[in-house]
Amino acid sequence: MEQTNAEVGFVMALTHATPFEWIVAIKEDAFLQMGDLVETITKIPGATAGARPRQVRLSGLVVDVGSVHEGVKLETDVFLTRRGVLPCSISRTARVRTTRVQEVGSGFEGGPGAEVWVPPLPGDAVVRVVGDSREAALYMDQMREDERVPIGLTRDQMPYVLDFAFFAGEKGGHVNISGISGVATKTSMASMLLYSLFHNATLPQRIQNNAKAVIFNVKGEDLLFLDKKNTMYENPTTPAEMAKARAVVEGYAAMQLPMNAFKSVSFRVPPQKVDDVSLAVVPHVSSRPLTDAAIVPYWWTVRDVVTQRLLRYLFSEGQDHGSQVTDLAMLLEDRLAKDFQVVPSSPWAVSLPKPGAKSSQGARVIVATLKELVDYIEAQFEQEDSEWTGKSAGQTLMAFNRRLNSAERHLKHLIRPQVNTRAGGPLEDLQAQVTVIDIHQLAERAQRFVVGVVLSRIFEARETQPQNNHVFVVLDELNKYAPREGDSPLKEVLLDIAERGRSMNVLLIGAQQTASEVERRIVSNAAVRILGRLDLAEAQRPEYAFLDTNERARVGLLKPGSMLVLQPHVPMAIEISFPFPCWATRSREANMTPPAATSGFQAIVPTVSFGDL
Amino acid sequence: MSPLRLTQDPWSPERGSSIDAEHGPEASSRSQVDIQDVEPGQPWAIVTVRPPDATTVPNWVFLDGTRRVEANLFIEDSDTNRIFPVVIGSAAVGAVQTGQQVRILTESFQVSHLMVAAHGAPSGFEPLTLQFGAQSRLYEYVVPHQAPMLGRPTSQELTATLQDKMRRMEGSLAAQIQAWPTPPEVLCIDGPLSYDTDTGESIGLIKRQSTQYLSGDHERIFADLSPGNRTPLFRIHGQQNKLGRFSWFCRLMERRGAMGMLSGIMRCEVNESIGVRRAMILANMTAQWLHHFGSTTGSDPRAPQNLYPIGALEHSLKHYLGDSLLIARSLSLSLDARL
Repeated sequence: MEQTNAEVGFVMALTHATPFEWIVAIKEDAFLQMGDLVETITKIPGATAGARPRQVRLSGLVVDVGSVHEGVKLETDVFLTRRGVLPCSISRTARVRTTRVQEVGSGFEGGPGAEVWVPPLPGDAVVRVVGDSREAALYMDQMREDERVPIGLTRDQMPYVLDFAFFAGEKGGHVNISGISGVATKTSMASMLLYSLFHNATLPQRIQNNAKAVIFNVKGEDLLFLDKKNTMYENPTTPAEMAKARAVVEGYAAMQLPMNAFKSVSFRVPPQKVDDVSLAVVPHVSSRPLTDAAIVPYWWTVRDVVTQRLLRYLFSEGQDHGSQVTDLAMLLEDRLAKDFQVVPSSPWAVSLPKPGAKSSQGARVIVATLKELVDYIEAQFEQEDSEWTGKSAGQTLMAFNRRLNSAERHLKHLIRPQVNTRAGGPLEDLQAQVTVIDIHQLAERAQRFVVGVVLSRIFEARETQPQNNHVFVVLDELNKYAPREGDSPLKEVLLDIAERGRSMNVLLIGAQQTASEVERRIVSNAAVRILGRLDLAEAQRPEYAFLDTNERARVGLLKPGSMLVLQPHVPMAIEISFPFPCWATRSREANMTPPAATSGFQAIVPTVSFGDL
Repeated sequence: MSPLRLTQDPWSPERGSSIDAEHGPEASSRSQVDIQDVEPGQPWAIVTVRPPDATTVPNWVFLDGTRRVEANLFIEDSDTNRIFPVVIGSAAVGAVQTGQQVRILTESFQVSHLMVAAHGAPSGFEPLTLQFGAQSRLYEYVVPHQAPMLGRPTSQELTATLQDKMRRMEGSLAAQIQAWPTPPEVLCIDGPLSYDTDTGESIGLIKRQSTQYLSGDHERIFADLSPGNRTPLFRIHGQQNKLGRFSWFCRLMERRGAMGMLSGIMRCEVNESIGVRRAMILANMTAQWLHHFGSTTGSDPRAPQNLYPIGALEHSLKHYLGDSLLIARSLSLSLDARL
């Protein structure tokens, strides 16, 4: 697909051109737009290498374009020009920010050339970059061939790639995506990242086959069709559909990605809410049949909560920050872990010393439901035994109780007396390549519990037993789970992943509407920053200081499917667009009819622990 | 009511006055002019012309020239102890097209660089070359053959040579334009038609009224002259190397408030040789359109007579002469190098 470099204009310098920024006067029969990649080759005055003059190639990104009437004095002169009275010329220019400076032919054995920081000269010809010069402008020559993950197309409809070494931990890790809900297509972008990761032809099979991904589905059931191919592009009928289908097919072809569904996906959904938690678990899903083998419910037992010390994750609400509630939760975790005994006949339950009795001997009670656990803790508090209350004041105990009762209301169907091997259970079994964990129908306290437990279990498993394969965690609404202000056990887990996850091959693909509301250390640890459409006021915040003034305006106008991408190699945010998903995002696209009502549910799923991933 | 009235010239005073002639009953006698019965069947009264239908102005071409003196020099002859004043300067001419394809015809631009010495200066003096980076500019050495006009200062004499050069360039460009495969509907030249070359059907546009051609009763016609109509043709007799011409007046802007009777008027002229019928047609076209090109006060110090297309052309031509400061610097370097 080698094209000739098309000359679009000349360097113009009514004010100083610098090695970092220069202006192109655009030729009458050409155009440049924001996001175009161009280059100019300039002589280094007075410098020769042998007999030939030394030259520098300045590659850059068009960050601003403008036009002006020349030869007019008044704003209203445009009317005279339209009437044919006043002649004037139109000048169009493009402001270019240099992405790379390289001396031509100076690289050792075709490697990168020396940096020579001279400005281009007025009159130097400017061309669009193609082929090798495009790769150089985008530093693709600095990435290993088998580590280029295509994530979209630049303005010239050529693939833009992320460097896997920076994406997956070797040199850097984590991705952060910002953008307004609904238009910024954050979820699609994150899914595209994973799709490309698992299905591109460049990454070594060893890495692709062993990598896992966990996606928390926070909105709708869009992500519950990842395993189905999007059939909308197969038989387009209207001209609009045909044009769309063609664009999609061409997009995937340009990115060298197959058009298919995700090849290995498991969907984990919460149980339906019931008053009697002893009833059989029925998965809470409306867009797919309950008998679908790919749909597996998840829940925990009281024994899981006690043995795995999960109590603290019931207390990750915003209002819990800064209180002593979480300290008390951890004290109780210790206490419960020390006092419990298994109940052989009921693998979901624990036996605990009767409140008021000494822990080592005496009467015991069996706790099997969350309600019973809550009641048990309250009864212990009433004993005013410092082994159970620590130094907590009465107010803290009351606050704790209030939250505990609220948690019981929202999580009783998630922590219930049923064994976990029959048809689901705790989220220990990330067996498929991609596991979608649906939390969109849960109350906030329950969402935080699920996210906190899953992430801490993944992290702890890898802390005790290092693994070579990668786990990518996709989590939207980071501002909720790791807000800038306050502390919570969940935020701690996320910070752990952001700061230490890279060395354990746990990578976070985090997203939020506004990066300014997310814990700074989480955003700043992301090697790759991606922006969809932003609120214009948000775009002015220092979290986006890497954007030029015009890019800040541009980011407010990005349409769905267009993003600005910043990765460590390239010193500038590059605008990309990515094609519509080739996997289904709703039942219509998957050629499925949504199920009518609840039907019998029996699915057996083997359980694998995180340590085995 | 008093017959006396104080009126104002719309021109900005730094560009002089739009009326530069004495006005009174006797002043016109100096020019040889026929006024009555020049235009067949037309009494000396306003000629009303049907307004055009189009909103876009027609495809006309306007031609103009500009000149600039860059520096005053001297040729000092140490043998004879004589000193000859010299100027170096440039003249540029070009054209602009109006209408649908309104644009400055930069391809028509011609620029000349002269080094003019006073009469009597040695001939065959080496031309001056100025260097601008990789480019150079040659100033052609010229000494006028004619002795200077009596009483005219030498500096004016030298400038006049440059002016003549510009006029000749204008004439030759006008001839070129008229020789186009499809010549413009109308070719207007900024200034009077006083060239030795035949400018064919070109219309000369005279912004500043420095000769009074009409007087007394005839001049009253200005009271009714307004944009869209014109005066009848009158004939200006030829003299020396000037051809006879038909001439008429148009007004470029509505008179308002304290504007004088002669404010905003443009005198037009064509060569007598094109015939009175053709002259009438051209005169009617100017009555229809010329005021559409008139500039507005504030946009040009010589509004409305310095027409929009000509103002833009002038600006562009001056730009082609180059940057004065750069030329002055190159000149000093060049003269130093000669020593």
